[in-house]
Amino acid sequence: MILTAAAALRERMVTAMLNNIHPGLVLILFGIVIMAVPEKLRKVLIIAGPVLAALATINLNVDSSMCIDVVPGVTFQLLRVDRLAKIFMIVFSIASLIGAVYALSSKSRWETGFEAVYAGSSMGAVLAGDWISLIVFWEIMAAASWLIIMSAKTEKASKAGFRYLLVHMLGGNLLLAGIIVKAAGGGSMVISCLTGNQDAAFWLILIGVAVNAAMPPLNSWISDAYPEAPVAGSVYMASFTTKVGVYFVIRVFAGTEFLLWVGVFMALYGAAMALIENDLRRLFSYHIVSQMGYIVASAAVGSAIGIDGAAAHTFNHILYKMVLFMCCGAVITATGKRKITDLSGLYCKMPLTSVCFLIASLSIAGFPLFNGFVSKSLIMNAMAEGGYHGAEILLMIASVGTLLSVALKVNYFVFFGKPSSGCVDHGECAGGCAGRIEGCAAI
Amino acid sequence: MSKNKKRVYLLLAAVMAVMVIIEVFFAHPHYHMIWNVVPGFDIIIGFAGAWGLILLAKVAMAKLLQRDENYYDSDSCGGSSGKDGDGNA
Repeated sequence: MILTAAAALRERMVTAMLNNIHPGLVLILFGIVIMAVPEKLRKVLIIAGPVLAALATINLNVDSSMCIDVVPGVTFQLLRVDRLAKIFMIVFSIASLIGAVYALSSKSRWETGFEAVYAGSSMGAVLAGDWISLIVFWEIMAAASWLIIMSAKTEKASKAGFRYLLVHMLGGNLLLAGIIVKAAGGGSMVISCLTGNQDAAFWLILIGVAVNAAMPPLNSWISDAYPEAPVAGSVYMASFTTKVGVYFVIRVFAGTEFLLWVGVFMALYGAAMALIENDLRRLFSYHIVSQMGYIVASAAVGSAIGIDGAAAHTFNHILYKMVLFMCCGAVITATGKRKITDLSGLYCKMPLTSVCFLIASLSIAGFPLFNGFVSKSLIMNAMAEGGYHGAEILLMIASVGTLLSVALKVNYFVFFGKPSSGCVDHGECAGGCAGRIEGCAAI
Repeated sequence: MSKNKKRVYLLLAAVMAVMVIIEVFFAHPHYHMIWNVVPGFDIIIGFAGAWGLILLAKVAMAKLLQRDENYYDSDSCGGSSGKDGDGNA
């Protein structure tokens, strides 16, 4: 009985402690420490940070908030939780934890440290209650993701990273300009829905968010930079930047009707470009654009089912996209090749990676019984319910394009087709373990 | 074809067969456009749409929007690393 009481007391103490922890700040702090400690301790901290952030996320109550007084009269709301933020935080916690397991194979202290900072700042942006807190986390996120790309230490990564930084600084500055215009006009600094405003602040903030959400014509950075990032870094990057972008599309621009057609264009454009792409990771970068299109379109409908579909698809998309990038990383690490035309018949020597990839590819294609089917159905229902039948048909066609380019093209040419030069032993690599975990999650 | 691959294909075919049976005999469409109520009509749209998308991608988008795979490696763009993103020569 005493033991039970002690356990209950300990649980209450842990809950009370975690209730006052900001998950994003925890990860940022761990990221900074990771860069400074020796390798053995680093590996412990790489996992400990996301675990602590996940526990803090579990203990976040809807409607809780955390404010700090910067100077007398100026208060930043670093944390404001509602149901939308909570669902994004749950999937971000899962992504940072599984990404951390995958990143254990990385030797670079800078890469692993920046990955934790990047994940933490993404969580900070989602939890931010006011525009100023948001822009701080937004810029940390841009800088950390740029440094992840740079940690690949190749000339191509360096150049792609520079282009990435230019685009994201432009996006950040436009967002800041929008916030300043809003503040100058006497607008509230609390983040709220801007749909229907159509003033200068609306357009500046929309373009700033559009950069992160990879809306055309501001999407070229994604297919340029993601393939050049380190293998583990690209798994992180596929999970956070664009998702923070669509989070603010849902939060701030839900019901903005013209975004529906922007979303439909994104879905078709991404799927079509993926059909003719030969680089594995670039192909999946185009698919991020395509899947973000579904989410933007669904959020733009603005109805309850539209918002639900957008949030559910973001959740599912992070899970299967992580698996796809992990499997790509496993293939690239094992074979040293990244072009589809250079790869064939890997199933015979990388069966577990192949099966994980198959599961994730069926999920992204919306195959029945997989998670993508559930959320895509919600989105299709949102379109039908809103009377957008043209958009419904076009999104259905984009989904078939996804099926062709991932579930059929990559599975056949890279994994399940006939090996072009016999069954060369590549071996399963470090990525396999985390890939398997995520494969289960994708189901 | 290995035994496992055959199993995967059979499993996928079985799932699709079950889905067709469910759609034809048990589904209650919530909306009433032709592709919602006529079983298999969305398959026709998907098939035709996929061909359209392939044509659009190969004929128009490849020429207008796609850069050469080694675009940033060429001398004219100032880069000649000869390495890919993972450091492979």
